[in-house]
Amino acid sequence: MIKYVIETYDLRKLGGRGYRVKDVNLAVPKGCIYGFLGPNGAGKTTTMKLLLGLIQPDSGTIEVLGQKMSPKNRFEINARTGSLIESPGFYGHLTGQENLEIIARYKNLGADDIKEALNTVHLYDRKDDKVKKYSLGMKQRLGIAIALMGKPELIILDEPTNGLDPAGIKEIRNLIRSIPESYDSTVIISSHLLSEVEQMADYVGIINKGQMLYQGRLSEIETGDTSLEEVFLEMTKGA
Amino acid sequence: MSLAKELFIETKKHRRRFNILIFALVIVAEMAFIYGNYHGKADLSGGWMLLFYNIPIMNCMFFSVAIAGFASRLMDIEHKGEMLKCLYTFSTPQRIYFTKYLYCAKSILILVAMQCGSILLCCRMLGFESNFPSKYLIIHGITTFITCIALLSIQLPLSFFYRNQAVSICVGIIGSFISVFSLFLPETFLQKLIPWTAFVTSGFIQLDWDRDTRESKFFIEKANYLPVLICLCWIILSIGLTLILLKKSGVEEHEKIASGKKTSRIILHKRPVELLKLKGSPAWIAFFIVPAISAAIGTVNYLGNIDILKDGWYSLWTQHTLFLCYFFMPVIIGIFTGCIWRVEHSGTNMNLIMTHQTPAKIVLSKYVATCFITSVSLSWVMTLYLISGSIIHMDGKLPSGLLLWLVMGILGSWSICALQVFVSLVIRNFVLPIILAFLSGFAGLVCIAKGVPYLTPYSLFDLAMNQKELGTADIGLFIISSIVYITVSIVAAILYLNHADVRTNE
Repeated sequence: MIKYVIETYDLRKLGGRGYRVKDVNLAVPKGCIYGFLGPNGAGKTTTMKLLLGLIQPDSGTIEVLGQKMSPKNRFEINARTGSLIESPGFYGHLTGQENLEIIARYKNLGADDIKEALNTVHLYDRKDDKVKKYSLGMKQRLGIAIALMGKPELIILDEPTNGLDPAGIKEIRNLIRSIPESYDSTVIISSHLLSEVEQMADYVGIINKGQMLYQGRLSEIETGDTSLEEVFLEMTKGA
Repeated sequence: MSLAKELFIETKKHRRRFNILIFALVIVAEMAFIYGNYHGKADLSGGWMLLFYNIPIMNCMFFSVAIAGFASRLMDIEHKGEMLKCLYTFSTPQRIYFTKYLYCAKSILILVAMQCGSILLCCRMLGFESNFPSKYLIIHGITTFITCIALLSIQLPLSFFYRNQAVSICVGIIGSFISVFSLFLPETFLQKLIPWTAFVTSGFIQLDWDRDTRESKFFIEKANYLPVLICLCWIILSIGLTLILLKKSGVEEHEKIASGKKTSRIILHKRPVELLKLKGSPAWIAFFIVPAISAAIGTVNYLGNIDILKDGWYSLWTQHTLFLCYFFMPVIIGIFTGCIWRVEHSGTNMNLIMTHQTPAKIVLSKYVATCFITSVSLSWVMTLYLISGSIIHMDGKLPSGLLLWLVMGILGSWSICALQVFVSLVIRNFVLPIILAFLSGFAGLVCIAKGVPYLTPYSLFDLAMNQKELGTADIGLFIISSIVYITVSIVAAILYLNHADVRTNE
């Protein structure tokens, strides 16, 4: 029996015209890397925000880490979660270390966790520079550091490789691949870079125009000669 | 590209931003004040003179802030969306700047037209004679317009060159305060040099107040065009300066040399998180400087009018706190709460904080930080009062209720803090809550004058800091309504954070 860390039932969120997310049923098994795929504006970020309780669904329920998500216990669940949604959030007038420090205070972590997070993303040398002086890629690394700090049980990363250089992308890829083992956590990573996901994920979910098109093992979708890219383009075509 | 086309584009950009509403709000507020104060009181035949006397004084306070807010809104959209670096590839900085300038001038023309209309409307509403020579309306319109343009020429470059809009709004508010203060001091040439005072100094109606009979009479004087000329000089000067700066301007960020102090170890800070987030922010300075200025002016004013102010220590207290309570404190609190929420409202920080903290703790920690600094500031006011009283060798005993004033003042200010924390949470714009605080300060004054001081947090604070009215105040009711305001605002803020979808600037 597979244990799921995230399960959603008929999740719906209205927005603008029509649904931003419609009848999404996610099931993320424990200890896997789950690649969440979809074209731009498909509803990836909206779904991830719903998972974190940052926005409230119009109907449907969400269960994260065995608890039902609601405004009341949102914080309890998020204390066991690390996340990077949209572009990284940070206080530009503070240094990298101070930013992590604020998060560490909220999560009751110590100096060791800050140091480890800084080392993981190779920002230790720049920790005393103001974040607004950071380059795009460095800000992204800081965002990843915030998400990873304290080794949470569930890590939600929204397009984590945005703005990184090729070496950085490879580094982050290796890092994410090692997370399930070294942190004993589950990772959900959204992306529209198929090759990236292909190299990391065990499971994939494909979403388009707010609706889930596929969910399952990556190995099951790539049968024979068909690559993920071909399947993806076929699925999202015209739909 | 023709200028007309650029102006059209500019208008398009501000679609659905309802900028002109700021001006409409100001006009409505002014009319409300006039109606509230003079309804059924003034003598009807000379009533129009009363309008032309009072409106410039109100313009001096309201228009200065409204124009600062308007200019900052124009530039804010470019700064927020990082649009300047994109715009610079289509157009020159000069064109971008002067399109904004023209757009603003056009809006100010509408503002002045609205004001002239409101004067006629006020005449009708209050039953004043409205067949006064129309040349006065025209003179008023032209002087107001030129003064407004002078203020615009000062505000727009500030909003343009400083990404931080607090700079321009602070200049606007300080300018308006200085000019209002200067109206209470003897007339000097220096006063005419301040562009903000030109609303009043260029006026053509004078007030003759008889100290013995306590009667006031308005009379017409030849309009004074010197301040208008000085305003024109300001316009030319600031446009010239702006042109020079624009020529040098570029969007590349000034790469400052990275700070030299590098630490090899991780040393944690000790201070609370909310204060750590404000590191390097000058928001708290106003809490100490403004009371000091207010105390200095109050003491000078007291010494200047020592023959009218006969209540010794009591009079000194009034002089010290009069302007501070009515105008400064709400604005400073507004700026502070604006600053502490601004760090969360920018970028995707709201995602960050909402995944790491419960809404109740977020709101309460912001509230406690605001209350803390406000309380310290009020204690500083009291200290300054005692110091300046002993410096001028005040006779008589110290007022017995001193401690009560302070405690009540702090409680009253806490209800303002609660309301401002809520307002700044909901309105993500930095400037609007400050303008609201500014207007509410006046609304509080009106509530005091109308005898309903328990109606707004602002009037509660005024009531507490004004010993004459505190003498007759119902302390039980005061405490109850303070607690009600604090609870309602804080609960509303927490519920809002709990249930509203998190919005970010992405």
